[in-house]
Amino acid sequence: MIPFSSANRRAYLRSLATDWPAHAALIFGCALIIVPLAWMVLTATKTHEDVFTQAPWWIPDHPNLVQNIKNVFARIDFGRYFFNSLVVCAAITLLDLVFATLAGYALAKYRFPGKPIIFAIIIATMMVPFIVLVIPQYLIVRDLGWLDSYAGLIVPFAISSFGIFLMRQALAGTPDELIDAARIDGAGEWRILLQIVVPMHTPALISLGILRFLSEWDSLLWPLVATNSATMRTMSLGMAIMQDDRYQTDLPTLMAAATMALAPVVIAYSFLQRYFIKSVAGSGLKS
Amino acid sequence: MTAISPSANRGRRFAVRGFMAPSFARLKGALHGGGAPGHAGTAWLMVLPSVVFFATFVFYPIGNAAYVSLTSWDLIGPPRFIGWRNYERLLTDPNFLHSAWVTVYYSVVLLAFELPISLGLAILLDRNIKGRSFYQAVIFAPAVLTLVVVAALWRVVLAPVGGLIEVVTEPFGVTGVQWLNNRDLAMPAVILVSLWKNVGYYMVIFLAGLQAIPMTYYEAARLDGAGRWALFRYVTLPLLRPFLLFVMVISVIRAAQAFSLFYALTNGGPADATKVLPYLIYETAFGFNRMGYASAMAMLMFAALLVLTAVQFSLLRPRGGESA
Repeated sequence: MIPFSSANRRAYLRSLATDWPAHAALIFGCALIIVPLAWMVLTATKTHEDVFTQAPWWIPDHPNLVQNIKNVFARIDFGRYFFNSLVVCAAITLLDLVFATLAGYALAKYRFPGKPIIFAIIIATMMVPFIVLVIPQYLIVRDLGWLDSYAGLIVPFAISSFGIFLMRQALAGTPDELIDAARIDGAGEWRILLQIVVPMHTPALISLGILRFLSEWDSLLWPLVATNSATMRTMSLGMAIMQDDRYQTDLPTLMAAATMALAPVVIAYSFLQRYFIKSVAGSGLKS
Repeated sequence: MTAISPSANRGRRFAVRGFMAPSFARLKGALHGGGAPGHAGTAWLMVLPSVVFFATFVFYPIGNAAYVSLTSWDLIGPPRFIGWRNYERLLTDPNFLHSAWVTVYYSVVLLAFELPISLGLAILLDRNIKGRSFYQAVIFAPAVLTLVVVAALWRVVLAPVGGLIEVVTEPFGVTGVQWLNNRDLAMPAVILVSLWKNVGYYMVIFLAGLQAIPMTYYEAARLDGAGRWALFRYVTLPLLRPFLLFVMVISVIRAAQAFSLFYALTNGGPADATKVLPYLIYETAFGFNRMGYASAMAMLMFAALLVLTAVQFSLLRPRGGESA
């Protein structure tokens, strides 16, 4: 009989196949990810002419990166778009964290009339595709006079049913004995939530924060519909419009903009990738 | 929607966390209102903002969309009630039927590639291979990259002149291909970009699922003389079933609603070859101001997705007890 134990796991798994084909496949996969990104940065250092006269992998002797970045700023208000995206995504994420925690806690730890129906309704809203909501939400935001404003970009997304669901699942894991002990010690309900329950569940809050921020950072349809003026564009919208305009054949400038747009994301990811991956692995759901 | 996982105590390293792994039993418990009594006022105060929010920004809009779908409305005058006429017209509208087909084509083909590739990568990583966290971090990376920027990148990679893709196609004597401007190539190109973006995301989900499978099952099967293929077929696959179905559900739902990539990569073209439903709805509503007609399309799509989700949910329901 083969003695199996978790200590043998590694050896056992090795026995399934020698490692090199797996490494080859994974390295190939990584190359498919990295090469286009590296090439994006390379292209950002070329001139418009280089693209047409040289091979794609040609490395310029005199990098044109600075000029390309200047071109980006001459064409689009990159800083403004980035700032807008940051404001909108941060606001949505914070609001969602606050209200999802409140609702999630109430649904996890209290008994109150109407709770089953409220919970069912909130779950049901996860099934509604945004494309169904976009027309009526546009009408609401228009009637409120919020078109082309931060309020219009933020408020309709301030709370997500996904967030409430996630926080309810997380907070349900709080031991009731702990809450009861705090009550006996005379702590009020809000104080218990803020000082005992919330600090216990920071990993869940971080997960929700990351997932929400990422999905909002990507959003395009709503900024497209709800803004008119260039000053209210988010980065996604600004980039989409830049790709669309008649200068799109100036590939190095486009790639310079793309590099600038991705750099903060890649930097944040390289420091926080553990959290990013855990959030996705744990939730399996985004937005 | 539920995140599915086998019960947490079976988990190995990286197992799905308890708080994010609701069982159907727990869900049912919530529906029947467990929890501490005697603080109903506080509890109501806590859920009130969310209730008001969903009433305003989800339920009222659904009702409104349903009403608008029964009208003819150009946003300028008042909506004119026309009953079911929008729906009747849609059923024979070649543009709508074409877009519905394109949406199905995109969702299904994307899934057909996503599923085996991401599962295959997850299986490779599950083998405690050296450098695993590096591989995982790199392959997952596109999932966090801004979609529209990814589209910009690929627009240049696929450019007919000076595109990186030439490096791959040139040895075959293929150059100057208008990937995104060719009716037959545009959709495969968008699917390729979607794969590049999504595979790592689903790989991470599958990896979490694989790591939740107890080693003892493999050990027992090995003792019974199971080979590598048998282990995969009779241990891994059945235990991974909830994760497989889960990925199928979210992949299809996300693909059916995809808008940004099409807007940024192809603008629905060339010649409508990539005009998916969300794009057609956007264009009909905000390009041509036909709010009623666009709302009717959106309602039909909503209904289709609901039916699809219901079917998938009935498949998702665990067979007997707390089984994985």
